[in-house]
Amino acid sequence: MSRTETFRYDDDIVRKFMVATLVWGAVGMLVGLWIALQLAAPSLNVAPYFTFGRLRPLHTNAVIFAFAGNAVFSAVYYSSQRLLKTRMWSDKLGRFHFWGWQAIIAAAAITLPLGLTQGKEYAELEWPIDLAIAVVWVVFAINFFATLRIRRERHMYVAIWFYIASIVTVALLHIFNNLSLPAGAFKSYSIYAGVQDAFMQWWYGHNAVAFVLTTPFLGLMYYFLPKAAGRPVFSYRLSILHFWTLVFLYIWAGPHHLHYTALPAWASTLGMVFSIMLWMPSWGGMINGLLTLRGAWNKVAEDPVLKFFVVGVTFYGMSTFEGPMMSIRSVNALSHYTDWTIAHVHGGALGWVGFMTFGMIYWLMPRLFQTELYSKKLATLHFWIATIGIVLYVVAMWAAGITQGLMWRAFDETGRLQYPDFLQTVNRLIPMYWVRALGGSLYITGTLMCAVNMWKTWRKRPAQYEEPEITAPALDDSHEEDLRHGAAPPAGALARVAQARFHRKWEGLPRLFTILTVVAVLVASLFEIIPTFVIDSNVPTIKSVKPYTPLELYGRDIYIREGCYNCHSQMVRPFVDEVVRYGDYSKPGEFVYDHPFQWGSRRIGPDLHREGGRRSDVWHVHHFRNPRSTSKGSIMPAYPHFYSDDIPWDVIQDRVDAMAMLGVPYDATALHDASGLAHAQAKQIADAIVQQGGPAGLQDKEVVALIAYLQRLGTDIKVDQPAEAAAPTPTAMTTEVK
Amino acid sequence: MRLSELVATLTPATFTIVALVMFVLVFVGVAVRTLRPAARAELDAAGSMPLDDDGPGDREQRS
Ligand code: HEC
Repeated sequence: MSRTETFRYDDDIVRKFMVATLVWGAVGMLVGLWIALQLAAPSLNVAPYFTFGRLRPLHTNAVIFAFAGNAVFSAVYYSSQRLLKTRMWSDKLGRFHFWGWQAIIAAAAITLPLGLTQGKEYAELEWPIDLAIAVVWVVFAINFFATLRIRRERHMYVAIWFYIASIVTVALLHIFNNLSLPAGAFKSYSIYAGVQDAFMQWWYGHNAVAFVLTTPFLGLMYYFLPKAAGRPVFSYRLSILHFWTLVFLYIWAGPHHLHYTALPAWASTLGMVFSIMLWMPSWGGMINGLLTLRGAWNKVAEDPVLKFFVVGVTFYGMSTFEGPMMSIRSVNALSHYTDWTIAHVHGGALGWVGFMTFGMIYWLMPRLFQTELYSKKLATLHFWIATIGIVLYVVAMWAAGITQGLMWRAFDETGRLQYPDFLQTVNRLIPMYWVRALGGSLYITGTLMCAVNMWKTWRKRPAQYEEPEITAPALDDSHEEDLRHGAAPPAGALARVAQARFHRKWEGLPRLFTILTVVAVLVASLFEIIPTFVIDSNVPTIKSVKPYTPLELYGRDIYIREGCYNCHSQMVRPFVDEVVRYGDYSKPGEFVYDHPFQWGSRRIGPDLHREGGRRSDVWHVHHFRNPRSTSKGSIMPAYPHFYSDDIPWDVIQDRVDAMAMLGVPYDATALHDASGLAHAQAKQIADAIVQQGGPAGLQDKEVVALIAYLQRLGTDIKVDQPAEAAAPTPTAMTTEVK
Repeated sequence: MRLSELVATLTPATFTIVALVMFVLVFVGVAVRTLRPAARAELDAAGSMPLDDDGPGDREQRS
């Protein structure tokens, strides 16, 4: 028998992360409310820093990485110490992790409104911050894995598995999606272009949902739900199946974000099949969570913690049903680019992530502050008000999404688009945007109630926190010895499996276990990614597609900086209605110089891939100054700074050089005199604007660069005019290019 | 057959199928292993691990 050891848990670090969760949660949600209101009332855009396109990334990054991120760390630091029967390996690394993470969030909050962005959703942060994230994450991982090594509990509980999978996968995702070439202190270009960039991005984007917002929260569920219910999880064996199936399945599902795009059809089929398969383990997990409460339902009536958990787990079930459904191509054809997606993520974010977090916070508060919760009534009120908030939010967005999706594709009896003006489909949604804002406000009110509760509970804390001594027997190597010199010789893998030895070992050994998880994730990723990169026929080259001119390139940088991709797609799908509305559908070969791709994921405004030549230059001049002047009822922000800010001519050469390094074939003139070329083109456009009756003196202004870019979009291949395309070839069921 | 030839014969569709088969095999393996009667007692015991610990708050059961 091994000797007994004494130690104390480090709860101070958990307190820190818990408070940070709530603070950043409130900030992130308030920014969310602000952008929700901007869509209903565009005058709430304050250019240049606080327009929808710049604030929406701030909202998503804040709620994903600051709110959910800090919540995950609270859960990991609290439950791992207890499940492993040890203090964290290093207090110092824990503090570094905490302050480093908060500094990163602060840096995000500053740089995103400044327009410093990589232009890829949920991976907007520029390269210096990305490096900092990698460092902090590695420190966290070192501390976590070292803690596993010094544990005093042989079996690693399933929550720990979920944490391990999350930690290693997030590291992989972050590194590979953010590979980019710096073109300045806070400017970089993705090393991938077009289709491949899209593929990497949604491999990342979808798995961020999986390994930031799902697996760690499942770890949280498998620890805190049994704690709060006072009984073990319904079926531990089911939770093991839940784990392995999720790890093996999730990583494949990313391409479902790219149905009917220029992505090859096989890849999106793969994404669809695996997404549908995901439904099964997810519901297994939900049922496991809910049945943990069997015989304890009376507790749910009294305990706000359990209320949050029950509804949270139910939303997990709902979202994991809705998600696979939306990944079915024909459903996706309707739902994609609409508010249905927004409804889906908020069911998951507000219901699952948010409620699991609040349940955990209310459970932790009295334990971490070592006093009774200030008000259970207030917590219960929070629960109800937030639940009503979610329902209003989600129902409003479902209605908005389906309404707009159906309007886009509606033809009248003469065979013409019933709503040819995109704005008709926007204005119909405004009342629903107000309902959404109301639902969101209710949810935030609940969050603020939680803050009050925390503040008041904290005030009642003891002068000195008790830090009880814990005793546990040390874990020696005897169990491994056991396996090596056990009674029955491990004759072959099969025999060992039959004797339950082998698996005991790999679930007990963090290193082996981690390697297996990494293999699962990596193999799946490689299977997914390699073909898009190596099979040439996936991206057929189109001879007429040429690199952007230096001025157009800078205009594209403005497009990225302003976050136009948050409202505009650049991807015409091969549907009759889209071809009629926008022009010829998009081909993979058209994006080969797009570092990063800008396909977008939501059409709050119309698709812009065939914008080139659709409007006169002067139309754009008026439109950007005040969209309402050309498009009555538009909800697009006004961009007055495009007319006051000069193009920084001296950076243009750097940008062109960076692109050239990524393999974009610029000619000698562009490589030596990019700014001269840009000047000349700017002059041309400025003159054209004057000729068309517009204002003079714009040749140095940013608006000219942006117009150069917009007028170029989609013009490299011969485009049918929308009017002539009334009877396009029936391409609706395939993305393959002839 | 050389490896490069083998890879060259793989079409994207084969990738999909190989992936699917791999997953199914792994899943069956995990399922069999977890659901074996022999694993039952051990795993059920592991299932109550969260309830073993005793922090200051748990003893007093505040919530
Ligand atoms: C809040 C969402 C939003 C943002 C952000 C946004 N737009 Fe728009 N945009 C719209 C809407 C809605 C319309 C349709 C009504 C209109 O013409 O203003 C539109 C229309 C347009 C059009 C006209 C398309 C046509 O030919 O009918 C262009 C061009 C355009 N936007 C470019 C941009 C650029 C460039 C940016 C970034 C600097 C941007 N938009 C940012 C919502 C947005």
